[in-house]
Amino acid sequence: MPACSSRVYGLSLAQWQGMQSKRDNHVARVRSIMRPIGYCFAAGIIVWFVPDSSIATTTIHAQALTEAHTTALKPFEERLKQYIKVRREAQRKLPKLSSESQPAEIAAHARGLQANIMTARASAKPGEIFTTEVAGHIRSLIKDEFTGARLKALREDVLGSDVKGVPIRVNVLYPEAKELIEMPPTLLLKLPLLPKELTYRFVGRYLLLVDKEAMLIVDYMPSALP
Amino acid sequence: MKQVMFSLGMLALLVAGGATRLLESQVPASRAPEIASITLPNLATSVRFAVIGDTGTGAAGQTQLAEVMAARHEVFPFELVLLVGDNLYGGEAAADYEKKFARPYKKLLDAGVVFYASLGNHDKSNQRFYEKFNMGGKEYYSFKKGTVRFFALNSNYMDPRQVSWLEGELKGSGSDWKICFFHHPTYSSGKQHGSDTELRKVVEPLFVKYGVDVVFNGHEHFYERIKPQQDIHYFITGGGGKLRPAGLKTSNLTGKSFDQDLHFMLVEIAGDVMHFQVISRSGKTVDSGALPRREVKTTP
Repeated sequence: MPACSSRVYGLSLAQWQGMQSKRDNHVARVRSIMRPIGYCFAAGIIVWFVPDSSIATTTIHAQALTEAHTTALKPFEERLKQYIKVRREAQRKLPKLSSESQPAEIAAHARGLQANIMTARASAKPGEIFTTEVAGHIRSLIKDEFTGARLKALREDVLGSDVKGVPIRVNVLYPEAKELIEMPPTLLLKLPLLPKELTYRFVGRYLLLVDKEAMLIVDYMPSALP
Repeated sequence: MKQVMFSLGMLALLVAGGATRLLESQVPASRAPEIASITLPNLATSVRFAVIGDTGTGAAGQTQLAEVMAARHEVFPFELVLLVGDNLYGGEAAADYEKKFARPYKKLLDAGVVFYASLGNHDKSNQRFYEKFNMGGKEYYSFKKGTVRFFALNSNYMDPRQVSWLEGELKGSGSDWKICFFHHPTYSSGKQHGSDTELRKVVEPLFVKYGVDVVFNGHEHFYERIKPQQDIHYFITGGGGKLRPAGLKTSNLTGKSFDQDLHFMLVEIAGDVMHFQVISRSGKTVDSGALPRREVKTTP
């Protein structure tokens, strides 16, 4: 603010103050526009240098599952956690396997784990993990993903595989001599992510939950394959 | 009279000896198959390995092929073998590991050859703990030899966890050569299975983006060299124990195929060239060639 004077650069004080005010308003307006643009630019610079992970484990499921599915499948997650708790307790009683184990050790460990889990879950019934509501949501996820020619190909693969004799019961062994059909990766990207101890497996039109080390059928749901 | 008899006896001996020599000269000296000579450079500085798949029958065919492999190893000392799945058919008790793997490949194992296994649809997860499969306790893993990084995948269960791992590994690998091996072929002219297009949708973009050079698969019980797909070379080598004669249909994917006998593949990576030779159980070369390393074109 210039020293009080009646004239500034040939302008009256009022004129000067008016110009200052206009200038201040202009600057404020420009700042209000440029600030968010600047923030966006800065964010863009940061994102540019952040490693591009086009497929990240949690990101995929956040994108694939709608909010409705996520909410409906919360109980599924809880029941899976309960199973894992029982399983870890069953495994704790056994000697650990290493990456250099011998076949006899591997077989003994599997037998021990099977026996311990089967005992702990002696009263397990179908539908305790794949509840009616959860099964409904999973069916709709599968149906949405596989249609037309893709569904036809999936049915051929699943229904043509060597799984005759796999019992559709809970807390029983998945026969060692029977194949474990490949799960379509595109479907696994859409289904709820399981704990690493468990896998989904199709047997006919059923979808099973299989403990892959114990080779136990943990639960199953009918009419999963459209 | 005695002299006549003696002379006749000597003559008879001479005639018999000559006849015997004549007959012997017409009988083959050995009935063992004549094994094709190695067409590979066979340099000590190369990375040399073999690839076999769908082996785990424990049957005579597997053992016969293993014998041919061992014979070739004496001339072409490959240091490792990639197993592309279905390592054990049927049960997996201790006796099965012995019958379907350790016994057939005993000569190679005793010679210090290291086997690296991947899992097929007939394999159970617990195989990852078996010392001689060198899986490090994992269903999917990677390891490096010289300028080559190998990635063993579990195509039975390609879940988001594995996909994320694979992307991280491929991206972080600075190796000249990137080779993936897993059971289910993303490209195949097989009548029984054919191309696994669902798997292809998920893994191929990563292979292309991060410069995978070669992919080895099994599952189909024959040999097929697929024409390069987006500059990546694919091989199906699923005839290590089981065979599916006439298992291929005519397809524009095929570079070369063979479904008449069991086979294995020998590979030598020398600098920027991958040399390969496919040998059948009868010892014949059914395919061979040299492929240059794929130049990496980073996808923006």
